[in-house]
Amino acid sequence: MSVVKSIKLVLLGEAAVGKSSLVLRFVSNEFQENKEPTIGAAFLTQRCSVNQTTVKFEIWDTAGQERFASLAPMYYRNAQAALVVYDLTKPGSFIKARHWIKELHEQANSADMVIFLVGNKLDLVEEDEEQRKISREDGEALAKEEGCFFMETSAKNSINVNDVFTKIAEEFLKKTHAANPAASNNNNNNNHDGNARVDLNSRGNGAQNSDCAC
Amino acid sequence: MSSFFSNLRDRASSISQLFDNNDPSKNKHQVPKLTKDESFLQRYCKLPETEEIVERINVEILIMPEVEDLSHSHRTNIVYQGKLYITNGYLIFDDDLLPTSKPSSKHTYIAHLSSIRKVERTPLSSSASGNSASSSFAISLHTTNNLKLIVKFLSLRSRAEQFCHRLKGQLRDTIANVSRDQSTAYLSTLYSEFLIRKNSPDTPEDEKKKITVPPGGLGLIFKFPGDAVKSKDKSKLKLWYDYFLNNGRNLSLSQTPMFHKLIRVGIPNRLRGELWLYSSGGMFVQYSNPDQYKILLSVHDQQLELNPETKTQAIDEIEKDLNRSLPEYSAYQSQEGISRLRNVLTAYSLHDPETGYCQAMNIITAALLIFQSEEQAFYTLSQLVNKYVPGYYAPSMYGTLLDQRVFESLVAKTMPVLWEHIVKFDVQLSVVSLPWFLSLFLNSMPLVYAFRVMDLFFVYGVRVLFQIGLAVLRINGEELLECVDVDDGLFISLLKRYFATLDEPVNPMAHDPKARSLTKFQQLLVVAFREFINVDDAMISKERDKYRHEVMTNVESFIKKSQLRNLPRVRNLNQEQVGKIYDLFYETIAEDKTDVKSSGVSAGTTGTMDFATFKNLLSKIFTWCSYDSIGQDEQFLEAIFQSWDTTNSKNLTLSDLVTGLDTLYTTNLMDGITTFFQLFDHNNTGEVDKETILQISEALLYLTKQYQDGILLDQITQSKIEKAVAGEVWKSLQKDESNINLPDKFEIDQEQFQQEQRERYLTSASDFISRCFEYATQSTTTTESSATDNIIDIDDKNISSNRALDPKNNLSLNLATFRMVILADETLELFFDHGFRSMIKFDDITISDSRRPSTFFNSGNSNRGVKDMFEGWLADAGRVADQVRRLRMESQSHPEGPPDHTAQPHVGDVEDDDDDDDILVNESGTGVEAESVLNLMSDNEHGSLMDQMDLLTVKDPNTTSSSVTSTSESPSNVSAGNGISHQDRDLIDFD
Ligand SMILES: Nc1nc2c(ncn2[C@@H]2O[C@H](COP(=O)(O)OP(=O)(O)O)[C@@H](O)[C@H]2O)c(=O)[nH]1
Ligand SMILES: [Mg+2]
Repeated sequence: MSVVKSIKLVLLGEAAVGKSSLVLRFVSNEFQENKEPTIGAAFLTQRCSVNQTTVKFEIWDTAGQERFASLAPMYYRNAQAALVVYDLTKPGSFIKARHWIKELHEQANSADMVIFLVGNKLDLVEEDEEQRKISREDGEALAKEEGCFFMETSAKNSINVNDVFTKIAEEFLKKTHAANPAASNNNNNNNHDGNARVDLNSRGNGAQNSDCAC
Repeated sequence: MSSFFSNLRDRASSISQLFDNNDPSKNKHQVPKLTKDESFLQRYCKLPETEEIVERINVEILIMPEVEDLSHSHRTNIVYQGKLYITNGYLIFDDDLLPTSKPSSKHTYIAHLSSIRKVERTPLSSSASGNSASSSFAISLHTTNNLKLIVKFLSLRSRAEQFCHRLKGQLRDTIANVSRDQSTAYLSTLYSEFLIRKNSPDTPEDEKKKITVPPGGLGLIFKFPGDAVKSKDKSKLKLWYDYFLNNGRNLSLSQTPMFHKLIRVGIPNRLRGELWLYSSGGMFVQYSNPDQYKILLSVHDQQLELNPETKTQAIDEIEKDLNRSLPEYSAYQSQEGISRLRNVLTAYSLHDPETGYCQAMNIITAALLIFQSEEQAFYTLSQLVNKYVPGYYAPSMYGTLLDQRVFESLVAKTMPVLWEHIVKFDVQLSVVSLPWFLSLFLNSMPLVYAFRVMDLFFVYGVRVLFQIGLAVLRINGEELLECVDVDDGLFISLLKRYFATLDEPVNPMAHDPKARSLTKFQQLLVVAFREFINVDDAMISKERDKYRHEVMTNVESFIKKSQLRNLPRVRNLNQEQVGKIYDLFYETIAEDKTDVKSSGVSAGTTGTMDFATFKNLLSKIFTWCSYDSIGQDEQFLEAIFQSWDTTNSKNLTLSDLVTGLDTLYTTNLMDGITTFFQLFDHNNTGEVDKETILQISEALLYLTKQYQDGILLDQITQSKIEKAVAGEVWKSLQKDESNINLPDKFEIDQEQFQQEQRERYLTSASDFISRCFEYATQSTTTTESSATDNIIDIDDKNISSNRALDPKNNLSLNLATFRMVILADETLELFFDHGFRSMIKFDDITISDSRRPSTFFNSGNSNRGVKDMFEGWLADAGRVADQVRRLRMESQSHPEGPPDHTAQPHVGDVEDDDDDDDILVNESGTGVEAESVLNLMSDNEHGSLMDQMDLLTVKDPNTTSSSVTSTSESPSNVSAGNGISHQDRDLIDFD
């Protein structure tokens, strides 16, 4: 019942596409200007329950500046999920998203990774269709081509944000279950052979975040 | 193959050399190894690199205030022994103790020569020396900040005299260079001077009131973070006041062990800015370049006024981060604070465009500006980025990655159990420690403690970061080990909690009140400097040397991979060629940068090249560029440059270059012609004018120079030569049909072939111009001309060319016409079909010199030349064989005699062969020995000429053995003997 599985998630994408905003929306259901100075990456956690399992997200929100890209492997190494974000109103950010996905395929063990492509700032596009620079079809096509999931979101208006994370949790559970069916009852928590990690410290405070939208 | 990053690596190691006393130095680069003394000056005293030692001597020295303060009569004057140095601008004393692990016990004195007021000989007094009967003497020096130095020379009198002479000379130079006003103005910006004047009993009371606080950090306006009472700022300030009186300050300061003690207890807020500036060495740089900061900003303002678009990428990035730099400090919620931050970061990015701006610099600068004026922060930041943590903020961040690797290694060395635990649970230590190093603990610890770390960092250097980092892990190690399951997240939250409680007592329950008051921060410093005292500069540099290569290689290949991944798709080039262009791009930038230092090229992700570098690069891949003196047709190169410079920035990116070369490298004739035309159609009008037509023809002449000079042979000529050779072979075969003895020599008149080709090219070029003018339309009559563009009235030739030559008429030539003109000429068509492509060489770029036509002829190495020539021939052995085969067939249909092989070949003769390297002809060799040709040919994948001839008669894959037997017989006999069927096969093959 109180088994908690940890999932390491990394956010990648060009600067200012809304990575931190998406995380903030998911973790504390807020939208505000990001004031946190991020060096390398910011670390946040959030729990939510999916199908009677509590999933603890360990989120690495990476810094946006281009030159930090050479540090990114440090954060996506061992990640079980990656959220690759672009801005629906910025064509350049979509190209960058493609590069990130390619890099994950080349550099990380992407076979075990849930990769999610997200087009953010949907609110701007809904307000004024002129603003849209990347069609939904283009997003879907890229996702299909690269074998990842896809959604359009708005961190500002809270559109699809929780759905993205729920979907990631579900897919993650599916993968770990397939990879190691016994893991859910395995208290040896050896995290080298599978992706499941059982967090013993979480007992008792699992309800703390029961308002999680998932 | 070196690339741009090996250049970075050189820089990295040369910088670390400055820092490393004992660098055994694997690197064989030009950086001269610094002597111990020089290294001391730069590493320990942090003097500007321009300072050079002009004289040194062994002395005993006594430093004391000019007027002995009676209240301090208890002070003991200590005589130190060591070396006294004169540099261009400074006088330095250093005791002979090694600074390595315990620099705090050293005694040093640094004075700018402008602060020395008076030098005089003194009789040897007992206070300065023992009563030795040395033949040497002593001098006393008086400084502007009222110090008196008594220097007793320990060398021979003559050496001492020489030293004094030198000192006199340097002092005279300094007086000439630095005016009294200048140094007074500078001193008035320093808080230490203010402190002394304000509190000195010598200053009259009414004057004291007039003295104002010099401009300083934001803390003076917005209050300094932390509790000044708790940190005993007042009493620390008093201690520094005493220290400054007795030991000097700023430009003439003696560092005693007391100095180090005062640093360790934490610098009082008001003095912090100046002491950071002083200990970083920034003060010395500022004093000799006092206007640098102002100029940088004013030039920038002017530029922005002229053109608001000149904002650099760095400036955009700075703007994004201004609101996220220590936002909790009130000054950074105000315009004043934000604007100072913007100014300093902008000025720095302009000063060091290679680094530009890197996140984390915003946080550090925000911290500096709490205590320092903009200018002070600028000079301190420069020292920090270049001297303290080289490579940390570089575009590739190699310094950061290297030191993370070094940190891991030090953890493994000093805390093996913890390290094992970390490895076992696969925790990435860097995700925790990276921000410590990049932002000097500013976003990990409460600010007041991070400032104390910075106090130490500026005096002792990067080792402080390592020592404190290790101490953090040592102190929390047990708790980390107790966790059954550690992961990044747990690690982070545990340390976060620790940092948040640094002000709490370690042992709140201790009986001893002193032990009870020990805070976790104090404990951290104790652990850092006691337990990790061995972690010194030497150890760090040794570890850096150990991992530098590995880290640099990884960074290099990572960046290359991701840049290649991010390039636009190419159609004609393959990935290997793109990889070579990448190497060449950065290699050339690096080469050119060593000539012009700091040309503004930024590395890695944002590298660009200007026209000069571009020319240099093209000369490496375009054979015609290096053939004739480069720059002979700058116009053409400029045309290429402009057309590839898609953003009109006068600079090409890697992406521009790859895309451009990709279009040039086309295999499609029509694309090639179009691309060429577009190079000249600058405004994309689809037309070029008369002037441009002439330019194009000049470019064509320039490009085909190697063909004109007969250094390259095009396919028409090749084909002729092949025919001639085949004719010779055939002739000799016919002479003696039963024997395969070939003649010893072929007589091929190469000069004739070259001459023919030359004429053909020159004719083509002149035909080109006349045809262009003939078919070009007059733009003055555009209304009708557009319709007649493609209708060629051949009879109208004379009239239209006359019209064209009339300077009053302006002509325009469109693409369709241009294409037609090219296609009308066999030679030009051939050139565009693949001659152009074949002159672009990506392979063996760095080692191919011998294959470049120019060096081929200039090398004077005829052996190699001949061999190259045969290699050129080898590729065509198959074609020669084909020619022989054809002659055989022709002879079978006309048995009368050898056919006329001198007939003009037609285009159909030019075979479509993938291997279309043009033949290199050796000008000296007119006769070619048949045997050697054949021998060489036998090594070739085409097989020897004889094999080819065998194949032509007994080409049957199922009976390969028969070809062995057949070689003993004359080919023609075999052919006859084996009957028609083989010939049929042969015919089919041929067609
Ligand atoms: N309109 C709109 N703005 C957004 C959205 N998400 C983020 N932003 C804004 O985009 C800017 C960059 O967001 P941030 O989360 O810092 O991007 P990051 O650099 O990818 O972490 C901020 O000004 C946000 O307020 C969104 O969904 N809609
Ligand atoms: Mg962010």
